[in-house]
Amino acid sequence: MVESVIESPGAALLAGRRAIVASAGAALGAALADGLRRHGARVVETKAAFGSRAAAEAGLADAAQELGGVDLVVHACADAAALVSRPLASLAAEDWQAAAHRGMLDSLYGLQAAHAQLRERGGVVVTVGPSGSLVGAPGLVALMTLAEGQRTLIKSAARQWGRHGMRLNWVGIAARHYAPGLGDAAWPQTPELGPPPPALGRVPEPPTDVADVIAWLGSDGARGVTGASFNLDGGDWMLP
Amino acid sequence: MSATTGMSSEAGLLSGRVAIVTGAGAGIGRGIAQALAAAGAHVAATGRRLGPCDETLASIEREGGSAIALEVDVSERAAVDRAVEAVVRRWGRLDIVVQNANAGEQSSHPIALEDVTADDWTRQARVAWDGNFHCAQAAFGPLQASGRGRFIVLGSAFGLHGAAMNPIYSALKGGDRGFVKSLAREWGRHGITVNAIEPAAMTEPAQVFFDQNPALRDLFIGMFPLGRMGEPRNDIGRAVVALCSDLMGYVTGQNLPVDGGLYTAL
Repeated sequence: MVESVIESPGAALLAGRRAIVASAGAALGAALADGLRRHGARVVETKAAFGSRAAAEAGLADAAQELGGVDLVVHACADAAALVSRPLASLAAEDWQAAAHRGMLDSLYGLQAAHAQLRERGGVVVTVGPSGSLVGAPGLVALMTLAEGQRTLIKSAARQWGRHGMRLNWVGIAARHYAPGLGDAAWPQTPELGPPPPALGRVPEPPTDVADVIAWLGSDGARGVTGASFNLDGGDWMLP
Repeated sequence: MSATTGMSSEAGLLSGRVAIVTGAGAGIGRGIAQALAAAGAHVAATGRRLGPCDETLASIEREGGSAIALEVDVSERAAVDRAVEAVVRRWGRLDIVVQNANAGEQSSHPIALEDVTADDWTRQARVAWDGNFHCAQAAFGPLQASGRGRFIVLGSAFGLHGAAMNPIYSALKGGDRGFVKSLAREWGRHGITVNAIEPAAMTEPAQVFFDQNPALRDLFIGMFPLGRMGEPRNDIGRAVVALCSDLMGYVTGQNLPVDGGLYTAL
């Protein structure tokens, strides 16, 4: 009995639910989609960097049509320019623009498109970001600016759209799962002199640990949760 | 004795230091410029329009402070470069940058998130985020040479808890947190501290808003453990002075609410 719970924690949390996973990273999107399917959801994957509001709305509308509606939108987007570690003093203006502004606009368009799909019946949006944005990272000023901007945008959206029955939350994951190249960046270490963190001895994995949390956020069990940030670092910085 | 009269406790704390304050033509920016000058710093009061900065300059000179006024649109990199060069040419160094510029009325204009356009975003982000980027790049060399460089961004509690009324502004201010934490980690080895202050102060636009909505004012003031909204110069400006002084030279990467205890969730 216990084993079955461990193998499939919270099974069928999303039975009958329809989810769109919009991710810039193919590996991350596929992993999260598989995880949500394990929880009973029907899932369509789509790109996350739409480039315009019209494209975002069309992209999510197409996906929703394929599903016959949508209950959960998972969005993870950062422009490729944001994923390169470089000192701010030598960051080219066009890279700053792409990383900070283009990334933020894609996030905005994604939220607006989700709103268009969910405003009538309510639903859930989960934005996925790098958990390192909670503490910052040298060489990644633009990405950290973007990520914290996205995390705050979710809070404001949650405040505005709660009346539509929409819940919006942020989930922070390990940098190397967010974008493979980020694992080599100079991430600050927790000032913990005991057993090396994370406390769980491993970093939460997208298809299992992360998808389980997102599935819960998409389920009725999380009906009282909105505007929140979930730091899935396995017990590293333990924020807040 | 009133907090606004008599010898200020910060006198001399910043003697000989040189500071640039952006958005210094009004409100909190003006208060910070005045407080830095009162603490002995030479201050470049900069803004998109020169007239209001001249008024800030005049107020500083009336008290015997040292300042210049410069027209600077922080969304333009070349303008920021020119300002830094002018300041270093004038006083031979640059120790402090306070990036306070924002897009004025646009940043406090309520808007539904579903109605936000790319132009709405870009107008504000070019000042707030690009302003940070341009000021940091332009000032990096002189701040490094200073040996005790200070880079301070004016954030907002809206960047901590989000804001239904101001989703763009709050996202920008939230982004500032990531900017400050990361740049502090990047610039620590260069002897430059990077911090943000999240102020709550009664500025002129806030005064107008509350005059029109007195019930909201009473409700809002009631949320402050200290029982009042801050005053730009004495409450916010002097906190910036402290952060710029040697007294707080070991503080970096922080987002510090200076708000009478309004926000205690950090």
